Amino acid sequence: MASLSLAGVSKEFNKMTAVSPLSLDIADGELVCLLGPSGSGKSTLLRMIGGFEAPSSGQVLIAGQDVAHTRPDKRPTAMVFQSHALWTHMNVFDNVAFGLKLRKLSKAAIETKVMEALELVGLGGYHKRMPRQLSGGQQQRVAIARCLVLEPKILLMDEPFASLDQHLRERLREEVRQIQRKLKITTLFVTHAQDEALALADRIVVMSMGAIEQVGTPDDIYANPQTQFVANFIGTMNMIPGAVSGGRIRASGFDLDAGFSDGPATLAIRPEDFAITETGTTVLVKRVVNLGPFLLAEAEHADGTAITVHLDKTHPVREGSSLTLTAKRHAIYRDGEKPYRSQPTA
Amino acid sequence: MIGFIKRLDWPGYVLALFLIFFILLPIVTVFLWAFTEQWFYPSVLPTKWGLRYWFKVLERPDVWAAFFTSVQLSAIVTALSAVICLPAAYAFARMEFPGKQFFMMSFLMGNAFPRFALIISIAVLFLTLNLVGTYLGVVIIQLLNTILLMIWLPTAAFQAVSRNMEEAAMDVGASPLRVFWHITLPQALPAIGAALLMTFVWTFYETEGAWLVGAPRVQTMPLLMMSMINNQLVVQYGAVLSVALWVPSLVALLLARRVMGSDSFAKGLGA
Ligand SMILES: Nc1ncnc2c1ncn2[C@@H]1O[C@H](COP(=O)(O)OP(=O)(O)OP(=O)(O)O)[C@@H](O)[C@H]1O
Ligand SMILES: [Mg+2]
Repeated sequence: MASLSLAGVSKEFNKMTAVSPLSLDIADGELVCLLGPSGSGKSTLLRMIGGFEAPSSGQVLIAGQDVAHTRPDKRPTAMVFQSHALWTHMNVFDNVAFGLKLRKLSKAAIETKVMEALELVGLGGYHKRMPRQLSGGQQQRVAIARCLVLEPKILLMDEPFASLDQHLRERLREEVRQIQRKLKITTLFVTHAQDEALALADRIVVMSMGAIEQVGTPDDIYANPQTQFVANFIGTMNMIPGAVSGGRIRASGFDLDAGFSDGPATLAIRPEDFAITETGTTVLVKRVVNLGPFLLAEAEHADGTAITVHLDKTHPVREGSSLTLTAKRHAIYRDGEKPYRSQPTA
Repeated sequence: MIGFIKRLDWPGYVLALFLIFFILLPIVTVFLWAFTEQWFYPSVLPTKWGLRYWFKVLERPDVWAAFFTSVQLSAIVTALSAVICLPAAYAFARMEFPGKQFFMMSFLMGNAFPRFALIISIAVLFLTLNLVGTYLGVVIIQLLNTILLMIWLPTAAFQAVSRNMEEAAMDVGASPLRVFWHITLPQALPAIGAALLMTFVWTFYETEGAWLVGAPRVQTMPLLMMSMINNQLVVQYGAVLSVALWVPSLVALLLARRVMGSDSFAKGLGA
């Protein structure tokens, strides 16, 4: 149990930058998700914390101690790999016990701890199985038990559930959350699935091309994406090209306030942030999809801009009908950054 | 049966005939001879069957002496080869060093070279070193023979061991040495076992090197068989020995093949 700080940590592979110098502070007991597209440097960052890659620069501080150039076997971190990486020549018990044996614990103590850890991940009674006799989800639970049994200060998980089906993922995600809460273990969880990050994290770190785009709570990241990249990556965002002049932005029939200097800019509105009104922008509905609790209308403005709108089911809408919309809330981006956010109107 | 034949087109027939004439027929003939007491021309099959020559062969002290020489020689060569080649294989699989590609290629090139010519030039070298006719000389020349197999197979095996598995072991506190001992080696063991087995069998049957460097003082099993076949004009001696030695070596090679057909091995070669 400890805090984790990255100070100016970077990684280059043969002159190619995988992670640009970045800093990040994670509090004791926090669960932080690293979220980003493939190749954004999430694994590289995690592997630097675990000790499997040496940073090209910077410090990795665990409870204030720099471990940037300490070998993995000497670090108080534990990692769950995407491909569970269980040792296939050992049974479940020996997989979980291996780290304890290296620590020269007594046989009785090892047995108690291993059984407890297996119980914790819901695998009591499976200790004699070989890894190949387990399902993918069970294998991943063993990998988690193998880490937890050592009571690491930092738990690192690199897309641990990526190879599992959606249902199992959601269940394991919940279990990880509960275990993490119970043990209050500082956890860094890599994923490229936004639903996983939103459901799991105390805070989310959005990464793109080796750099941090934004750090914030799930609510904050969703409601106030600081960059156009984050806005696009988390949830759905309508990006409407337009121009600012005299403190207003005009884009595809919308005319909204903008605390921006004059010039081209992008108007961003979430599908659920539209209101159906008497006056406003008229769009033509091309397609209606029933998403269960609400309808999703794919519409098009007369200038050809595609606009996606969420509607509640009481609203009559058909393909070919038109909708008149205003924005309850919007943001404005220029050069992908420097956002302007309106206050939500009721 | 009809369906089977119908599906063969002419290259299939040619191949089948080829296999029968050059592989199956000789083996069958050797088997027949081993259990023959009398075989008069023009009979297709032996005229008198029996195990008489088996007893004769097993009574001969030179057969047992050659057998133990060969077993001992093969064991020593295999052990030495393992001691020298396994660390090298690990280095090839896991480490980067200058000249790595060159080394790998040089093994291949050495083996592509006509073997007999190579062995003769080595034998000439041994002559100046006074190694000809010595046990040590045979050990060295047979050892050279095994290096390709003992480096390539284990290299593939080490490469096939998942990096994440090794990292996971480091992660729970294993030093590099322990990672190797507890994870890498056991994971690679089946393929290494296969390489050891094949090395042993190949060394047991190695003939040219043993003959050029060792004969006549170091008498190995294949050399004894050769001299029996060449000098004694009793076909049965050679046939009995062939059959007797064929069974264990077949079992060994089948075992080795099972390991090499496995997933991890294929992956190692692909990596
Ligand atoms: N060992 C390595 N050698 C060279 N380049 C590497 C190495 N590891 C990663 N990279 C490069 O660094 C960049 C970041 O890779 P990384 O694996 O950290 O991405 P990621 O965010 O984890 O992606 P994914 O979601 O696909 O796992 C990539 O461009 C990758 O090609
Ligand atoms: Mg990754």
